[in-house]
Amino acid sequence: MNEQRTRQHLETEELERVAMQEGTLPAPRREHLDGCARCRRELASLEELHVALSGLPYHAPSPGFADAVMSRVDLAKPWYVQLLTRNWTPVAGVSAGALALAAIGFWTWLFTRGGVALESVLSVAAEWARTALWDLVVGAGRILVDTGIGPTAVEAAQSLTPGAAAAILAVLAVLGTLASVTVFKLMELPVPALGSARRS
Amino acid sequence: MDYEAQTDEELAQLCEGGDERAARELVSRFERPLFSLIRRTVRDQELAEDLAQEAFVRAFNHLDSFDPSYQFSSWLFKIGHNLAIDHVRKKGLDTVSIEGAPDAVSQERQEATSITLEARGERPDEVAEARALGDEIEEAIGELRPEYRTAVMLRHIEGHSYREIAEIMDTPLGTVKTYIHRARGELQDRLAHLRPEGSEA
Repeated sequence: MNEQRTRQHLETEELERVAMQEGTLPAPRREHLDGCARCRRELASLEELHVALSGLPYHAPSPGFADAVMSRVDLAKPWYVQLLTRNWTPVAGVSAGALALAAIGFWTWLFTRGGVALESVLSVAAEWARTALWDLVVGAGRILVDTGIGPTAVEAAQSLTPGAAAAILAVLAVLGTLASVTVFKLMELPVPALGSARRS
Repeated sequence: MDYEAQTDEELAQLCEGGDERAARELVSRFERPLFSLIRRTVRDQELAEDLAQEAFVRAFNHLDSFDPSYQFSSWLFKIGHNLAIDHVRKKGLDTVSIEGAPDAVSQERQEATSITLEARGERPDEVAEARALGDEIEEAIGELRPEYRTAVMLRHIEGHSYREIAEIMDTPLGTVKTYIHRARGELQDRLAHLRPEGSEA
């Protein structure tokens, strides 16, 4: 069998593999090549052609090619990517300016009325914040109790088998991981200022 | 992010997420190979530029249909090849001169459908440019049938495997082997006069 393989002339694919340096020949084929003038001639001819073709330089398009392509490309961006990658600086600037003006105006109005002490203003504001937070917590608890969601959830949790509880925890863990990965992926998105053209 | 370190397929996925820099990197990597392939197929600088541009635009605007398990370069070359070959066929039909039907695998069929385009219709400045470059190999390639040209360039210049070339050209593997074999034979004949005296190869 080996002897027969040694006698056979090389196939085009075998010659090509050697000429294009894509691999080596098994020993019997190499042996045949070394001793066969016809195969060596074919290999030399193929190598010559490959060198000529692979050495051809690339043609270059005009310098504005990349820009012309990019001006016509409509890269589809999901809404959350558009939201995260849009330039928020003007919006943030205008909002901060408006807020500052409103605060200065309010402060001026408050103190030009007279008889208003800074301590009393801060004390009232703190009381408002405390009350609002407490109302929020109490309100949320009341919704849970009044709608029956709270007691039902407690009952459901008590009736869970350890396996079901573990399954739910696993699902929550997977969802949590996916959420974290999504956040990290979004953080990797390019900042608009860095996304400007890099000439090829 | 280091865009230059990303693979073509990773860049394609970034493009799908709307990343313009990834798209620029892909254009930078493939503008010359794709443009050269198309230019050598249609043999017209301006037209090749339009077609190469169109190929990139189509690729980027239809990234949702790109299968990441497939090579991005093969996909891009396939789009470019289709555009170029469509043009060559249309041109052939308009002028009743087609360089053989693309599916002609038998000698009779090839001869029945073959008319050589050669350099006919090329502007004198293009001819002068080719002469100035002294590039007889380019001329020899230009004289091949468009399908042979594409197949042999994808094999010897781009280094694609036969299977990849078959996918790019949407042609059976056996036909691709035939194209490349015939193209090489024709090129070796046309370039024989360049061999040194006394060379047997």
